[in-house]
Amino acid sequence: MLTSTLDGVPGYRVVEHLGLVQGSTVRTKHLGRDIMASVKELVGGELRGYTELLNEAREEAVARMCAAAEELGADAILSIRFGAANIGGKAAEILVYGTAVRLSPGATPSP
Amino acid sequence: MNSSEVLNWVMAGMVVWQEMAGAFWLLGVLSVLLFNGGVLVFSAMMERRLEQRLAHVTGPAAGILLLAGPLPPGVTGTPHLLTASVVLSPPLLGRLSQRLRRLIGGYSVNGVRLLEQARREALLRLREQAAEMGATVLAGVEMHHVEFGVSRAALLATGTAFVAGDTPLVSTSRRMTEAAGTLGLRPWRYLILALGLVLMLTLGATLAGDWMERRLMDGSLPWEMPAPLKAWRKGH
Repeated sequence: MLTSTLDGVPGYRVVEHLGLVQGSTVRTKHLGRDIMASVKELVGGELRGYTELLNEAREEAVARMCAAAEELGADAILSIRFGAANIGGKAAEILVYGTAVRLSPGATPSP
Repeated sequence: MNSSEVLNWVMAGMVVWQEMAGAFWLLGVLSVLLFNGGVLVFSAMMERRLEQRLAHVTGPAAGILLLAGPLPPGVTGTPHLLTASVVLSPPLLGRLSQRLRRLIGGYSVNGVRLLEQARREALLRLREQAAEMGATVLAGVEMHHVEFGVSRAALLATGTAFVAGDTPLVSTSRRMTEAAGTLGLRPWRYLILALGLVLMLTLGATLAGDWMERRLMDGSLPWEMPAPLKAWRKGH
C-alpha cells in the first residue's frame, strides 16, 4: 500500500477514486506512566511516555486506515491528513483519513 | 499504649520542637533550597541538552529538503508516509515565567521557545526517519499542535518521503531551514527570576515579621494565646 500526503504518485496516474478511508483510535498509558510523566514535568523536558502514546495511537490509526483501503482493493492512499485531540489530559485520540485510489503506470504531472 | 502514654509522647515532641525550633527551621529551609536548586539546575541542563541536540544535527538528516507543498516537477520515486510526534514539558522556571506572563499578558518568550523546540524536534524526527530510508526529499509536510495539558507542547508532524528518485532533489541550504529565526536559550533570565523570587520572599517575610512585632509591641495584637488553644491547655 502506497501512502502519501500528496495528491498523486510520480510515474503513475489515478485510474479510479475509491473514496475516503479513515482510521482512528483513542489510547491511554497506564497509571505508572502518568505518574512518571507528572514527576518528569517538575524538571521539564520530553515526556517520553506521552510521546510513545502518540506514536502508538498514530500507528494504530494508520494501520486501520490501510486495512480499510485494502478491503476496498486500493493501490494507494493519497492526500492523507491527520487530526489529533486530547481527551481529559491523559488520553490521545488520533484520526487519520485519506483518499483510496487505484493506480496504473503512466506519465502524469508531478504531484 | 494507652492514651496518657500517647499524650506523653506528644508532649515530649512539643518540648523537643520548642527547644529545637531553630534547627528544624534551618533544616527545612535548607532542604527546600537544595531540592529546588537541584530541580532548577537539572531542568536548565535538560533544556540546554535539547537545544544542543537541535543545533548540532549533521549527516544526511540535515541535508533533507522539507517542502510544505507538492513535489517540484521532475522528481520521481516511491512515496512513504512518515509521522513523528513529541510532547515537551517546560522547565520549572519556564512554567513559572509563563504563569507570570499570563498575569501581565503579552508575548511569552518561554512559551514560544517551548513550541519552537517541539516543532524543531518533531521535524528532526521526521528527517531522521527519512534519512534512514535513504530519502532526500520530504514533501507535503504538515504540523499539528495537539492540546495535551495546559503548559505542555505536543506536536504531530507528518510528511511524505521519496526514495530512489531518478533526479534526486537535494537541499541547497547549508543548515536546517526550520532553525532560522528561532529564539536562543537565555539562562541568565532564569537566574534573574530565581533571585527575584528569593528577594521577594525574603522581603515579604521580613516585612510581615516586622509588622507583627510592631503590633505586638504597641499592644494592638494580644500576647495571649488564641482562645481555643487556651481552652485546650486548661482542659489538661
